[in-house]
Amino acid sequence: MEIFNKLAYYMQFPFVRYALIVGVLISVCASLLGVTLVLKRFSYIGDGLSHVAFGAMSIAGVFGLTNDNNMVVILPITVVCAVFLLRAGQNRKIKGDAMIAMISVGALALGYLLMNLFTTSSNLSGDVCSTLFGSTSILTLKKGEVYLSVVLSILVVIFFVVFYNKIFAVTFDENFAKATGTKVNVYNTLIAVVTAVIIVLAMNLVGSLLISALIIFPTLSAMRLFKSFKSVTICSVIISVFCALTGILISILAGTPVGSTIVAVDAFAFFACLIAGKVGGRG
Amino acid sequence: MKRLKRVLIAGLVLVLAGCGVSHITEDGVVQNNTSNTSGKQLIPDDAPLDDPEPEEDSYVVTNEDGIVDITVLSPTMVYAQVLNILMYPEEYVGRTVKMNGEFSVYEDTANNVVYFACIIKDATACCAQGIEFKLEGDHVYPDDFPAAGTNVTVTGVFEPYEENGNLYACLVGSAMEY
Repeated sequence: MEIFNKLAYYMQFPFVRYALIVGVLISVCASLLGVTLVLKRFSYIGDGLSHVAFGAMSIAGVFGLTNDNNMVVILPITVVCAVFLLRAGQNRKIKGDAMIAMISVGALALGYLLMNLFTTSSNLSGDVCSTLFGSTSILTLKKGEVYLSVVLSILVVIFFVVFYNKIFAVTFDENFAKATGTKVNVYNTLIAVVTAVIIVLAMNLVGSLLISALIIFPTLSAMRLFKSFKSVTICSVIISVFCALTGILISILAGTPVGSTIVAVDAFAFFACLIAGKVGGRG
Repeated sequence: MKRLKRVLIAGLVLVLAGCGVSHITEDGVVQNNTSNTSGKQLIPDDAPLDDPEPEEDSYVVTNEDGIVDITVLSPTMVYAQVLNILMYPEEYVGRTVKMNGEFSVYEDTANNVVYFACIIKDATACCAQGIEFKLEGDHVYPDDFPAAGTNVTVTGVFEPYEENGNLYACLVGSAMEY
């Protein structure tokens, strides 16, 4: 009973309500795209692009841009890298996974190097740690950021629903989709752009290093229970929202780091689904 | 259907273009703006103080005595609440704030001034935020103060002040328990 009283008290804080709203929205978007990315063997792209965003943030810092206007630099760079990785990565001599690893590590190293050389902060290690693990960013959102997340999330969901059949076709067999007249490159570009936007937004929720978990865990959990694309997508969204809400609530009640708590709940849900799948004969 | 898709794509592009002036907060960046080497807590330049924007939701949550009591919150909530006080100082001016954290001292030997602060670490223990406080009455440092790092509970009135063109957060008329 005490825990419910505590929760009711915490819900009076606007920043807790904002965190829950944005957490749910980001988890919905990440899980929707997660199915496509996992099936296209791009599970690690979230990690790579979040490191790119980290590097871009450092570049923005070098140019004196603050958190109010650094999106001018972060978003375009992340989008360009996403398009490059998703569209061109597989057609070059350096294959997709190697390309992601190269860009990911390179951006992370460059970002940290720039932060070291041009920092104005007195607590550099704290800044880096906080950005990588997203300790409390989700609990410091402003109302404008919440509105932005709502609008972007609605657009992502609409994009997914409207282009569902095309995304399905591009995900499973690009050659067949191309043969039937689908503009594969256009849809791959759109998927890349939306992926980049979600990853930049999700940095607030779990930090740079843990974003991949939001993309892959719900999808892999759902795949233990269901087989069809539609069932896996719907189940993935439900699991993702449940884990994000549970993770945020546990972190504010128990005082644990938000990002790692959400990922821990996601991992727990995966093992629960794995067991359920084995018991149900689907594993 | 094709027209609908074009409209949706155009909408998405417009919203993405709008991101350029949006506020996406990375915790590290907030930290950049709110900490300095003097040990005093800077209030971010963009934090409204003189001309606050009207907010439907008040950021201030008080107990039945009207005190902003941070001591009853979990560590994650405490850190977020202190950050919110620094982001929205106008909402807290004149309010009594009670907080619990590490006692910290900064001695400005050039100007012969000693600053005291209550420091709170975040859940990952890699970042710290704090608020300076000035005790009520006459107290001599170091005789009347605990050792740096001691856990203290400070209760005082939130009154930001300006010094050398910077705005600093401070709890004035404070009482300290340890």
